[in-house]
Amino acid sequence: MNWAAIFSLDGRAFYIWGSFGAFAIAMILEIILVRMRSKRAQAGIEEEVMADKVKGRAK
Amino acid sequence: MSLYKYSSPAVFFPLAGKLVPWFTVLAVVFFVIGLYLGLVAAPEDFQQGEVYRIIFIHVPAAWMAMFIYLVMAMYGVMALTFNTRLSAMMMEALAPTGAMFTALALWTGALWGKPTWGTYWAWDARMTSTLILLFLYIGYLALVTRLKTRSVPIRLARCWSSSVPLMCRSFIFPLSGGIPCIRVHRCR
Amino acid sequence: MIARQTAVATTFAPEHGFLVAFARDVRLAVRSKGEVIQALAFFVVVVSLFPLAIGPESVLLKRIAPGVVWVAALLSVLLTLPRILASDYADGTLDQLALSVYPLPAIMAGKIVAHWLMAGLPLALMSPLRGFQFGLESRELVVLYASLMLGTPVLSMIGAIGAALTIGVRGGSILLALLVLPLYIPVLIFGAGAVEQAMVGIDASANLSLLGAILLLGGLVVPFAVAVAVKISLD
Repeated sequence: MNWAAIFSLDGRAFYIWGSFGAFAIAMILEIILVRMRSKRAQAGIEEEVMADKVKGRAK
Repeated sequence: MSLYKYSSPAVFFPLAGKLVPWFTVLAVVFFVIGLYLGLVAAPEDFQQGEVYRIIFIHVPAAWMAMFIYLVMAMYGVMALTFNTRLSAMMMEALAPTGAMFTALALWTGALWGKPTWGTYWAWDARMTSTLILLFLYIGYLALVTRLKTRSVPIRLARCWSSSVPLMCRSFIFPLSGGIPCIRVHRCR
Repeated sequence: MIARQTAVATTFAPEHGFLVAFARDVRLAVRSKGEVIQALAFFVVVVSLFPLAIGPESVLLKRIAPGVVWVAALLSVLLTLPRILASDYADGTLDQLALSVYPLPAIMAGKIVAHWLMAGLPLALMSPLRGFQFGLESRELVVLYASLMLGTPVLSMIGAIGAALTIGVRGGSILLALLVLPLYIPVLIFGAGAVEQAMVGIDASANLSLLGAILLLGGLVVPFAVAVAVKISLD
């Protein structure tokens, strides 16, 4: 299969590359979004741990 | 039980951090193998031509859409019964990914349907129930973000996502079987 | 002494809590008749908009009648949902109810039934007239009426869960719609499906039975779910 065939795919290229393209974009977005969410979660946990430490000292 | 200690976010997080690189490597390896098998190794379908390769991403996306919802419901039940904070956090973290896979399943399904069935969308049971699933994800996400801006305990959202959609989902699953007979009568 | 104790025990019985909440909400609704009438008027107006938008072609109108009446009923109930808990939360009554001696699920059941009586029942009673407008036959009108009688209580129940979850949330009404509408879909399908089957000439009892089953299951589970949600959101 040559490159031209890969890009035309019997005239169905729009459907196939539309699907795989959306899939690729979604996967990249997912990685970025998960990074952001995990950072936020980590910040929340650190806050919680700090709060626990403060409470522990108060006791 | 030693496993219970991981229900605390502060204990679980370092473990998760250690596991992430391994899972990343696994994901990349499986990705490459899967894409090779799907795009290169598998022969062209004699009826659908090359278009059928969409199925290799469409079906996993649809599968993940439902599976993630199930896992969320499971975490919801755990959060309500054991009152563990990690379960609620897991559920919250899963929801956007689940919504993404649901949208992806709908999108790739439409792009597969057009050349194969001749239409982007039909009110078929599988599509309709996937669309409803997307609505449920959106509802859950809206509730969570709205509650966060009000800084009310996330427990509320937890309650919604476990009890209600679990109930409604178990409603809708048998019901989605009911949709085709009704809808098909209506369309044809 | 013993007689007094039993008297106290019966006063705090669940059914009494149900009656107290039910009577209170009905009294409130009767005193502000406007809201009940407005919801009903909304239903009538929405149903009447469709012939104006689609055109007065009777065959087409008859085809879409079950769906139109059901969707309009659903939207009308949706508009009245904040009434179940929002005003009680705003003036602090909900906290008092949660602290009262009566079991909270019983109180919530009373509120749900009262809401149905004020929001759902008028729609069901009004529906044959609307169906008549769309040219439904008498047999189909009966099925439409029956489906709404069985379905609107479920709308109140599911709506009560959504209302309890969105208590005190800013911009809660649109969120409520977003949460509740997908859950209304089964009721909508079976309700409109029953009428449609009657129109085709098939026995509609299967769909009506399913609606009844959903109603019974909801009656069993929903008051407890609403009570849990109220308790959590009052925390």
